[in-house]
Amino acid sequence: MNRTLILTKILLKNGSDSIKNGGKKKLNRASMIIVLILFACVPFVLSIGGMISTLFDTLKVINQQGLILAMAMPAVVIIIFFFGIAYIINTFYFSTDIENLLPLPLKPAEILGAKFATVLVYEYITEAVILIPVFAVYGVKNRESLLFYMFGILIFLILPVIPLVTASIIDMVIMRFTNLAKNKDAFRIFGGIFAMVIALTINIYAQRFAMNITDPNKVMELLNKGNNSLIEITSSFFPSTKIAVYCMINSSSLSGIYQLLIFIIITVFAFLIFIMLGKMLYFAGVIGISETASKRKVLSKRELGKNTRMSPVVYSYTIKELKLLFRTPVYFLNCILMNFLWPIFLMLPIIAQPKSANNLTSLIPYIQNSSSGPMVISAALACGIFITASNMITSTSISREGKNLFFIKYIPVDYTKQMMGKVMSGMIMGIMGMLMIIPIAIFMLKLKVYIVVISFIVSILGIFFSALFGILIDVIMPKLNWDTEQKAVKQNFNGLISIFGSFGIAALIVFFSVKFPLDLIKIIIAVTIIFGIIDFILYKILTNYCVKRLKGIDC
Amino acid sequence: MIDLINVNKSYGGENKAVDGINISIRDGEVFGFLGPNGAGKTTTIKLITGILDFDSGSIKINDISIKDNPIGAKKQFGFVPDSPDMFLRLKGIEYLNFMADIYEVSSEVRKERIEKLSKRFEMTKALGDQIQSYSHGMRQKIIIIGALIHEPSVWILDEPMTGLDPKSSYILKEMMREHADKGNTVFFSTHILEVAEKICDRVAVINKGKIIFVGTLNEMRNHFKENESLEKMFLEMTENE
Repeated sequence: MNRTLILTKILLKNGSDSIKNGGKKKLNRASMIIVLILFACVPFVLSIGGMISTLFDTLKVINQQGLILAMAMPAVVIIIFFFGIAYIINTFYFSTDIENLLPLPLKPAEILGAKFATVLVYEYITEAVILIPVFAVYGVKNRESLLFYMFGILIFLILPVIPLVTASIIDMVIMRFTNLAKNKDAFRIFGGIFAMVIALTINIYAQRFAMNITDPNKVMELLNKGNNSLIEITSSFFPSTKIAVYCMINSSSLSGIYQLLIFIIITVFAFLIFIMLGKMLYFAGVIGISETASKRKVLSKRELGKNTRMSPVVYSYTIKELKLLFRTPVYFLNCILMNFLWPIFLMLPIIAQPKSANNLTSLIPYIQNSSSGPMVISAALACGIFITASNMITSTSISREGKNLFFIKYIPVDYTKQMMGKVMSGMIMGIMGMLMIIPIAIFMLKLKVYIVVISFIVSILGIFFSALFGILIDVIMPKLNWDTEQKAVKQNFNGLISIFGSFGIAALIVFFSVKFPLDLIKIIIAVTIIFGIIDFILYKILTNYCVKRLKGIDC
Repeated sequence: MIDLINVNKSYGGENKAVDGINISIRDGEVFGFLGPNGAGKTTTIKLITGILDFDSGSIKINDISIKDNPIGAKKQFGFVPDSPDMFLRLKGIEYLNFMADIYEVSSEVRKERIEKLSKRFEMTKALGDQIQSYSHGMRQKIIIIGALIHEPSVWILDEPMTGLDPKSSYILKEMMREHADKGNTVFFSTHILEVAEKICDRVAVINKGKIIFVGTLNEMRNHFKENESLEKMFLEMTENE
């Protein structure tokens, strides 16, 4: 047990090295980032709090305020479960420390325990964002006693265990009994897409449910119907969550304590099953994980000729970036897949709430009216900015080099060209995202073709803007010290900063174009001039400041 | 030809990693850079290749300053870093083609060189596979081929024998000798004396950031016998592996 604790500590330290190690300068920068992130979270937590507060008042009228806990807790459990599937595969099987741990005289249970604990700690963060405002608002508004908060802390700590155990067992079984893992890259991409599909399905159900809950009559109906509600759906996934919910609701009575005890016993039991199964499944699944499929075949004359064509440096550099993005599972799921999913995201509300399609059709006459052209153009510009920022390709492009950053310093290609190779890769995927949306826009909004063409051309200015902005942020504080690719992209604040920043700019564009309406020709000229200048300035910053900064990064 | 004149590099202003180094590596020479672990070998190589900036002094490769004309200087050499774990998800052939684009080698020439070098290092069967499926030694070999794709006159190799099997190691040593005999420069670091003994015309020994000896191997042995503290370090290096 002791060794498990030590191992957990080491694994956690490894994950947060950029914050803990290094001198004072780094620490200051790290605390700055944490403050920034907290600020970014505040509006989110506040809006959740506000939403819950209103919901509480609505439900209090019919004395059903417990429904808040009954919705939030299973929701958290499900979120943890789905994040957990990907997270656990990465930490248990695909993280690079595995090869160093396997030769040590550690029992599977010790490695599993430590790895499970690391995942648990990270999941607490996700859990905190949702459950803390829920417990706080509910507790205060319902005038709960101290016992409620103590129960709350305990439940908070043990709630994620069961979904994570379930996710672990699913992962361990898959890894043990499928040969898919022989090609670990393909498996990770497949698993990631699978998890996303499930998440989207849940999203559709949640949206349908959310629509019903805003209407008090519907709520009554829902309560009467019983079986159809989200609570029942989620509880049927993890029935034990129901006990935790009742334990919170009854915290002031004896039955609450009784339910808490039962919940703890179930959790401990689940964890023991996990360890027991782990002993049988884990080593059998993890040994040999780093093997990669290979053919070892001599290239034919034709293949060799095809693969040795000369191309310009920036082109070749861009293609290299794209190949790595497509072939590295974590990069594919975070930076590439998103660009192709935009149409699904846009269609989602319509699939979830078929009625909203009617609202949309009533919009069509307005949009087809020629006076709406300028609005479409500024919306396309905003869209290009946002799509490109959210693929995080340029805003993690320096970070993704990691320990191999030295490569860009010894090759005889100047830094501007190399950075432009990265910018191009981000732009290509941004343009891809736009191209995915356009057919949907034509189909749903019945836009005129010439407006679409002009909007697309204008949006490229926005795409260029986001790509430059992203690399500017990443070159200022790249995250180079990572041991799994996940940390270069998912645990990299530069991506978030660039998304938030670009979202702000996109919102400004929409705001101004509503506030100061211009006709079609004027808006095209205005946008081209303004963004032409901004892009030019950013490009100049890239060739001067960014080059200096990149040169100055020690590696 | 590589010239280092009074080169200094410190980390964070205090810790001197490289302390007033003077070395001149002539054309036609295989030059070994020796020293125990952590002596400053890799730092010096990083300064020569432009990966790190130095505080004072000058470094020239074929008379081109790495500080004033970095692109021109970088075109002069081929560099093999100490860790070959790069671009693991590119196929071998894709990596080599990328390097050829970087060094602007024409299609015809690169094709011929890739065929020749991969045959010599017995890598022809691996070119179509991703680098992550390679063993450590194979990764080392693909990086070496990539570094030689533009036939640079100066070779800079950081611990190039690590992980190579005896045969590949022998071939590389043979190639280093041939290259120098054609009037080119080979500069490589190692902490294993035996490797240096076999192929080096001259060596430099670095310890704690300072050059403590430059000359032939015979001169080095005599020099170290007369100096007790140096002899201890010499023993350390010979004991290694």
